[in-house]
Amino acid sequence: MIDLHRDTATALAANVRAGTLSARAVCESALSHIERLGRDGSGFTHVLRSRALLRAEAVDKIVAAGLDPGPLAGVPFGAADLFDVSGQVTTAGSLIRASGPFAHGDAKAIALLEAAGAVLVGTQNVDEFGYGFVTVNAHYGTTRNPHDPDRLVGGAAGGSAAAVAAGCVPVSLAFDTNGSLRVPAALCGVMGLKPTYGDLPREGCLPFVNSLDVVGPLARDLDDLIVVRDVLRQGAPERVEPPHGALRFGRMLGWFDRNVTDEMRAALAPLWREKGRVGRELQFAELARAAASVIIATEGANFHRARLDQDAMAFDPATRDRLLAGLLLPADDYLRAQRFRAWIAVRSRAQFELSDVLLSPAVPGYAPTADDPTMMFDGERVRARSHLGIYTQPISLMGLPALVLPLAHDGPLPLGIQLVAAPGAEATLFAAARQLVAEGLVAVPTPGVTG
Amino acid sequence: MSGEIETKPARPTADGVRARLAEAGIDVPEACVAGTVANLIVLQDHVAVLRTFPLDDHSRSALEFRV
Repeated sequence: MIDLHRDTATALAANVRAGTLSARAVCESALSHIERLGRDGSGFTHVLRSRALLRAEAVDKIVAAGLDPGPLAGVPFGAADLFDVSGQVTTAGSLIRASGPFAHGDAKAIALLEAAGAVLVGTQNVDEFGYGFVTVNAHYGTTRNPHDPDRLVGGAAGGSAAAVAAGCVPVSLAFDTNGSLRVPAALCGVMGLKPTYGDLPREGCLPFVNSLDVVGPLARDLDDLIVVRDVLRQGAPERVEPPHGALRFGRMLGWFDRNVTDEMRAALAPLWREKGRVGRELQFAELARAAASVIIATEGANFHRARLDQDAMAFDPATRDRLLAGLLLPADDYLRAQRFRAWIAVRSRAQFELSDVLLSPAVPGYAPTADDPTMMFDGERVRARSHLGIYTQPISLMGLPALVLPLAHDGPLPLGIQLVAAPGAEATLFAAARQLVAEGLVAVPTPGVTG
Repeated sequence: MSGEIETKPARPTADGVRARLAEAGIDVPEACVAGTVANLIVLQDHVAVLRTFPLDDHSRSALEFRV
């Protein structure tokens, strides 16, 4: 039996390309593991068994013919249920779209990964239409955290992070509007890249908020994340090269140092000792979060207006009522938020004249329990659905790239940090990540193994 | 300047939300009203934060306007 729990995408692909491992065997192993864990444990809501096995056999035939299937040869992957899959309905976690239409083709990101040899094995659970930070879906269930099934995975792309953390697939394709992949990456103990706005192809991914939506990968291994991004960028040159000298780290203070739980503070202590000596105040973060929330509510409501008119009761109530509220916001508030977005996007770039990489917690603390999906915020108990992304939301509004990595710590559950760089400086984020991994400050936890 | 808020807006109520939904031509069941009120209050708090920032008259939108 192939050990997908530990193998990386790059190792699997190397073996498949060398002909020492068949893509079909890898695919069958992934499918078996997904089925063994079930919908809530694997994060998958729709398994594409026939398509995946056919695709894997095609990869094996390419290898048998002496050709190279590509850098992701035989690597199984999943995609959040917002990506089009040819001949399937993109339900986006909803019932209201479940009766069609069928997608005419694969989302561009899926097509690019498969052109590089990867094998799509299924689609993964999301908060309905990608609106929420919990992956508690009234129609398709609550995805359970692989590190503790009584806890949430975060969201909205929680199924994608759970699938990677549980070892079903080495990589997932997800999306990030306001923290959608970063929050679950942090709570599930995997790596997640939210690219610079506009850097990776969104075609064929159901939009939620055009002003903020991006597509990004999740993985357990840094090199896997990098190779997936390279494939998705189709060889485009880096917009910003990493600095030649030592990286300058900055610790984000102010908003990013408020509401941090005791367990997160303890886990962060070694990181701050090594990399947090220079503090940076990313000003106006609270305003940025407010503006992002206004933009999401109004653009999301506008996008779904016809469906709300058609059958509001077919929505998940938690999504529906947020969208209805968005419909009632004055245009003045939306336009104010968009004017602030332009202002802060320019201003935030100045931070990177002083630091190459800014660090913050990605989430305030451990994953909330499924029985009590709440958290503390400014002294009040609030809904995790709307608040788990307090540290990711401002970064989205600024259009900056961010990389979430699991902290190395002794606690019982994963905790993630967020690395932020200037627009286009993803290579700098990867250089920083490599350094943190080498120094033992970051480590991917294995479910069932604490500390 | 775009002006900071001078007065605190009234909190949304169920009756007010029913009326505004009707004015917007949105016909939804009564079951939606309480949740909409709760979420509108959350958004109102975000708007209040946003309105504390005095945007310059020349600050442009992040939206692109092209013909």
